[in-house]
Amino acid sequence: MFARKSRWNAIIVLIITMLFISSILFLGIRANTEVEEQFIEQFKQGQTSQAQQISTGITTFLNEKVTMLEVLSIQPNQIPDDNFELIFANIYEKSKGFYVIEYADENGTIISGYPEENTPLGYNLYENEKSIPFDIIQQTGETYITDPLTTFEKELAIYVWVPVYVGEDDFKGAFVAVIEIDEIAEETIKTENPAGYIYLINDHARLLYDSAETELIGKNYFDIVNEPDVSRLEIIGMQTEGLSGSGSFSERNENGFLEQKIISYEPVIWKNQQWSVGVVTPLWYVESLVQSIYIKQGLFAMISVAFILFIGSFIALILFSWNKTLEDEVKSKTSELERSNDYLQNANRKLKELDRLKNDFVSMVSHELKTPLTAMKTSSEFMKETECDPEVKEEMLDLIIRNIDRQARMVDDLLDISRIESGRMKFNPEDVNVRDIVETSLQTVEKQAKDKGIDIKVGYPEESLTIKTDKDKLIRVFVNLLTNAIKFTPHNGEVEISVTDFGDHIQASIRDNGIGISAEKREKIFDKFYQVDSTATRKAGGTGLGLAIIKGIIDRQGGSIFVESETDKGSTFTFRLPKELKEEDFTEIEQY
Amino acid sequence: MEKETLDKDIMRLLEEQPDISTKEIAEKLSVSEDVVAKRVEVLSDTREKILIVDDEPDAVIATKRALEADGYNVIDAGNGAMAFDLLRSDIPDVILLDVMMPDMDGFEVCKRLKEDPVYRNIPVIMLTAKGEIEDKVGGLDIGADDYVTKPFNLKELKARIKTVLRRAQD
Repeated sequence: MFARKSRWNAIIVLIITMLFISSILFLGIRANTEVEEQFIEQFKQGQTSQAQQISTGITTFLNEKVTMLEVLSIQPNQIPDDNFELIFANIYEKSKGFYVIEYADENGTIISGYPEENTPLGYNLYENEKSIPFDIIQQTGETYITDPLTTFEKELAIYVWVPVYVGEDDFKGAFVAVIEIDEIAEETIKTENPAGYIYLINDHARLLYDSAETELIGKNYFDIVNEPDVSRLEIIGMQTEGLSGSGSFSERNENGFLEQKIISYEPVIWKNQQWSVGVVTPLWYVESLVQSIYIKQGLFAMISVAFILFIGSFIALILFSWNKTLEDEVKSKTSELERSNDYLQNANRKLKELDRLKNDFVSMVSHELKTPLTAMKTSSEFMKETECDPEVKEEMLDLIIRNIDRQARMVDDLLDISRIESGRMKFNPEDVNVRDIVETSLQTVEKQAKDKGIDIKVGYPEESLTIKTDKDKLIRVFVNLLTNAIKFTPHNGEVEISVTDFGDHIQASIRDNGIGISAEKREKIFDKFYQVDSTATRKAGGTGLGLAIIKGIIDRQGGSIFVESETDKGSTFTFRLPKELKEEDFTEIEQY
Repeated sequence: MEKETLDKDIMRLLEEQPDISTKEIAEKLSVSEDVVAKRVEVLSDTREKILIVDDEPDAVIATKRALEADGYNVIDAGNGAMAFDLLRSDIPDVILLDVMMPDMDGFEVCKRLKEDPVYRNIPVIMLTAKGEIEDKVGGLDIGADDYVTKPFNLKELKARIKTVLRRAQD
């Protein structure tokens, strides 16, 4: 029952533990997702601001170049003699980023430039049918920037056309500055992470710059995009329209796997040019930045789980030990109850046994007292009624006297038994010579022995043997045992008494060669009212209490009595008695 | 059984020769003269026979003398086993049975008597101390014809014996 209970406890604790663990894991995962979302959002914002920085950088870079040329383009008096060569050299050296700065006269012929090796001197725009921008600036009087073109060196570059005037409106040709896109990118675009890339397209989706794949530069982005991802196309569309924003798309990486990427795009609006910069970062890179948070979160979750498990098992252990204590207590209480129950049952059994013994004793006593009464009553009534022969009368009177004696003896014996059993038997110890005791006893039974022709032999120790005991009681023991021996010994049989000195005690044996006593009867022989003889052999006179009384007398003095016998060969009653009956023994006996 | 055939043989011889002596009978039946004399005496005893079964010799003697004075032929046995031994040769007219006896008590003896078809019809009067009947209910149930409480009144015992004998004769 308790084992089942503790199992239930364990299950409940386990369930609670599991609930705790799963809620921690759920909250952990939930927190991770939120952190990730937040982080990606943050990252996008960072990326957007990077795109804005790049956009501003490009504009500033180009404005700086163009402003210098525009300042220079208004000459108050006349074109310098060196056709600006010195100034060009100054500008070129001071302001990085120019591929070449040229000056074309009002006829469209390039007459000076710096550095010279990049200058096609004498190149006439009209002759080479490249006069369209020249014409445009001549008409508008404003700076014009061509779409990115491929230079002679196969580099993508922009051509800045600035009209040159002397005075208010005397058109004197134009400055042509070639700025390579690469140069712009180098000065303004800093790649912040190696996993991502930055690209630059113009409003025709032409790829001007790509930090990852330079060989694609110059191509149309719509042609490059090999992914069917619509969001990518939409983003490019928005870029060509000059919008800013951010988004995500998927793209195949070099290994051919689709990869989620996040992008921020920002327009670069400068003069008549409208470009768009895009900053792209793979999602995994962003996630990898959050990874350490995940690890810490996981660690935290594991520690929490371990803690919960520890607490859970601790509680389970406490419950278990509590149960165990309870169980032990119940067990000990149960066994205590069982013990006391056993004790009570035992006591009850003993009481019942005592009650039964008492009842048996009472009924035996009543029978033993009634038997002589019956004989006396019958014989006296018979004599009263009938005139009988003197012979029969004599017999009847003898019978009556015999039974009166028997009755008196019975009463005495019953009193003795009662004294022995209640420990009230008085002993009056005195120095007695054992030989005297035996002689006295022999005198008492002399007649009985003589009647049956029985010879009694006596064996004493050589030295005179004196012990301290109750004289009358010792005589009684001897007489009783001798009477029994004579009673059960056939005519002309033999009875032998032997007394031996054993130092602190004496031993006396009375042996007969009578019918003997069977083993079964030997066990009961010292019981009250037990009579060995069956009806036929019994002669009137025995009370059935003699042996019980002498056993009581001997036991109370610290001695012992036992019988050895062989059927048809005789019996030997032996008793041992301490030589000295001490005072404390008496008190003990009194108290018994 | 042996004794029954012996009795029959003796009876037969006595019919054939009314003045035959015990010695002659003994010779004819080749048994001892004592046995024949005893059987003849028993056969010629016309008194009503009472068997007392009691383990107390003094009680037996007193009752025996009193009943003998009234003209009964009284035989006795000291215990149950001896009673059954005796019953094999002598069939009494009534049995006085003491209850309190060692080995086999009066109730047991009575029960065995009433179970045996040969002895079933012998009336049994139980001699009991007061209280024994109550202790061991069934003194009458087991077939005892009557009981007398010890110490009994002699007149009462005699009256009860007469009653059961008369009842048995009827």
